[in-house]
Amino acid sequence: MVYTLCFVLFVIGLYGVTCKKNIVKIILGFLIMEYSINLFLILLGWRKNGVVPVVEPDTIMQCFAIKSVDPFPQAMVLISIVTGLGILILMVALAIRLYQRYGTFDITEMNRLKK
Amino acid sequence: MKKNKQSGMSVIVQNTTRMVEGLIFLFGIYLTVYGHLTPSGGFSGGIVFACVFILMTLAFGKNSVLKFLGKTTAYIFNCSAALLFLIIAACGCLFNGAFFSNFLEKMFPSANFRIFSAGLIPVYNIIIAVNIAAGLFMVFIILAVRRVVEINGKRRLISTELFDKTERKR
Amino acid sequence: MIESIVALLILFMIIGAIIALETKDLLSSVISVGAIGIAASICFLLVGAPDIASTQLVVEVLTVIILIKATIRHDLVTIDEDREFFGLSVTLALLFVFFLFGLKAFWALPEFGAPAMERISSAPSNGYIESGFKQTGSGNILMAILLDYRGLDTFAELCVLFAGIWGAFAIMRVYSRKKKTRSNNEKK
Repeated sequence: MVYTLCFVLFVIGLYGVTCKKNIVKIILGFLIMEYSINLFLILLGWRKNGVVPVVEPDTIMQCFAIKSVDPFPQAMVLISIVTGLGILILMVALAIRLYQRYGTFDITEMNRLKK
Repeated sequence: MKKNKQSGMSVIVQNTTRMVEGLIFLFGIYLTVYGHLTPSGGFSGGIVFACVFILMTLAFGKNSVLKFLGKTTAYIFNCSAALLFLIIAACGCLFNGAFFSNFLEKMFPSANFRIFSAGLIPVYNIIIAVNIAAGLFMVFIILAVRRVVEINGKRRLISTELFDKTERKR
Repeated sequence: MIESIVALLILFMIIGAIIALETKDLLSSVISVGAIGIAASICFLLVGAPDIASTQLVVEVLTVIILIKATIRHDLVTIDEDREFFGLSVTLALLFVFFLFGLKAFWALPEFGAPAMERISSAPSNGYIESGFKQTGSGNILMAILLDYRGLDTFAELCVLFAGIWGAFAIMRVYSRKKKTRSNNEKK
């Protein structure tokens, strides 16, 4: 059920990328897709009544190994979040440059104003 | 009353920023240094550092921060931190035969749950924090700090830092 | 209990996403995406990933700041959304078909609350949790994985961030021409 809702969010982001004319809305569609994917990966690793994967001075190791949530998707998502920031930086730089060149954020206008 | 946008935001924002920016910086250091004991790490701490500098730029105007952390300084920090990361990882190859091997932990095993434990992991956290902070602050200067400039008769909004060369030809 | 709260938060995110994409005001849509990020951060906290929650929060704040400062300006003309009808309807139909096929794949996933490391005893996560503290000496298993067991992934991520920043730098360069005169108007 929860996974299906994540997928609905992903499809909404995909709609934003394919069906919108404003470049800023396309960038927001990418952001929504990225949030939904990161959320899905972390929800895959949840264990019922699980604990955070941090060892403290008074944890018992056998208990910890049975009860902790999966730390592996969390590591990959941490990398994915920072990589998504790098992608956003490139997209925003391109959007600014396109505005300086054509004077508008509309992609159909840019098709018509090609010099 | 015309608000001079070069000097930042209003008095309330400036006074609040003056009180709070040191605490935020300290919080960033805490997140970075305790990365191997509590849920935090180099990534969170580095982005908090970048946010402190962005806050100072927004509140006091761009000249207050660009005096001591210009584009060149941020670029030097960014590149040297990335290079240091690679050199320390390659040193693992020398000591133990594997890239990224935690050689400090194997050579000097220390007591658990202290700040100076877990070998190379706190060192990597600090390097990552410096790298991300310098890089993201440079990105903010490039993308968001601009002024209006005339080129070939048309008025354009140009990133401030990249226009410094032509400014001297006036 | 946690499942229902997470489902409610994702429903809030879906409503926020629809608002962000359909409203005409750019500032409202950027702030809606910020609200989606905060809801995602709360979901991460409930599911047992506080490290990711704090990182997601600060990244989302930085995203909203960069988007607002770089793209919102006063002389922006709002764009009316009368895209041609045939292309839009075909795209929507294809998206719906993609959604239906994707649902079939999602029904094959294990249920929420039973990760793969429970059923497969030779999964790498089991090894990291059992021997992570003894071998590396760090209490935070996540940082031990990122910087000791999987250090190459962190290094590659730093490279990607580096390339992104320098790519933006290269895109925003202004090439000066020496022949024509120009004047600087300091006005913002």
